[in-house]
Amino acid sequence: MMDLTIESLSKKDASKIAEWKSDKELSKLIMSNYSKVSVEEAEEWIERNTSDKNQRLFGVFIKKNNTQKEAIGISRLMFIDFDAKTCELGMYIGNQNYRGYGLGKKALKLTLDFAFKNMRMNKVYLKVREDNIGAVKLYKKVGFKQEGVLREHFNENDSFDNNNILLMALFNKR
Amino acid sequence: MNSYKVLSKQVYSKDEFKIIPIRFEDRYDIMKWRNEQIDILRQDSLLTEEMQDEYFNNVVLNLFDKAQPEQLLFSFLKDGELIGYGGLVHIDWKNKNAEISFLLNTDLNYIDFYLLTFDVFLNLIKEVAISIDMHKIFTYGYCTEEYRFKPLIHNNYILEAKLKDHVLINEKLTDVKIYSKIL
Repeated sequence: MMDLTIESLSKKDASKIAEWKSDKELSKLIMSNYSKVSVEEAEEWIERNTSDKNQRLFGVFIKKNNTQKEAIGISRLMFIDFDAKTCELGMYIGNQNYRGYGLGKKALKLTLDFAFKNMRMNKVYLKVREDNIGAVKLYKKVGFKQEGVLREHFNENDSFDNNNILLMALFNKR
Repeated sequence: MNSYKVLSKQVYSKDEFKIIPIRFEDRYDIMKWRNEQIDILRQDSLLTEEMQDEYFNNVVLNLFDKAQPEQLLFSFLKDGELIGYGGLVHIDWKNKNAEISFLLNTDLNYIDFYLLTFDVFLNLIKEVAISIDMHKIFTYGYCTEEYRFKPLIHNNYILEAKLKDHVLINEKLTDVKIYSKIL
């Protein structure tokens, strides 16, 4: 069993972030604008997003041994609305070698725990590509319910056909 | 008159109504209406004249010369008089979609006039969106008063999502509806 944590990111994780952000396939999956990102740009990105008071940015880490850990992905709570107690969740396992072991589910649960228990959020919502079957299945398994479909919402190879985004949400069970 | 470099046509009109690139002189009226209607806007605090000047000087003025501006804002006129403003915001040029924004002079914001003018505005802004090759336009509206969505339904917009308890308005958790139209 791999020991997994979510913790703040620091500048020393920038090379990993740069690598993931420069991964074309991952960009497609998480619907981010693809571009080659340098380590310096990733450092700036960490700094900017860590200091954003309406966001909580975490690295997803695997413990290698008692002293070493490795960043394998990120999870974020974004657009935190402290009045309505809502926020948007974004998450991915960037290191392909660690996909398919249920680590995404673990990281998701840790992030949701943080949102609901530590931050006392009422609702966590997310956007996911409708054709990202694995992710949709995971979110449903954890309890997310569909709130809508953004039809033909992104452009891939100059086509919008079936490029739908699901909006899903999970409420705090207090 | 201001003009958007990205638009080949600057003025869009229907009957006595027209939209023209947002005018600097309308900024304080707009500020006043935004402050009066803060409940239905995604705006945290009341705007001041200084804030509005800064926004118009640093953000709005830059939009006119851009090849791909993030927003296209218009003053909305009836018989030449300013009655509201709005436009396309959060323009996503890669994915060719944009959100519609619309705000009416608070004094004119009674149901019948709102229904008429928002209907007209939707038609005019659709023309703008088509002219910049958008694929889809959408609205993001708080479910405080259901009549606000009527012009969207009348113009064949589709309800894409209902976000439950998504915002806090007057101490009450309120739903949000997203309507869209594929162009």
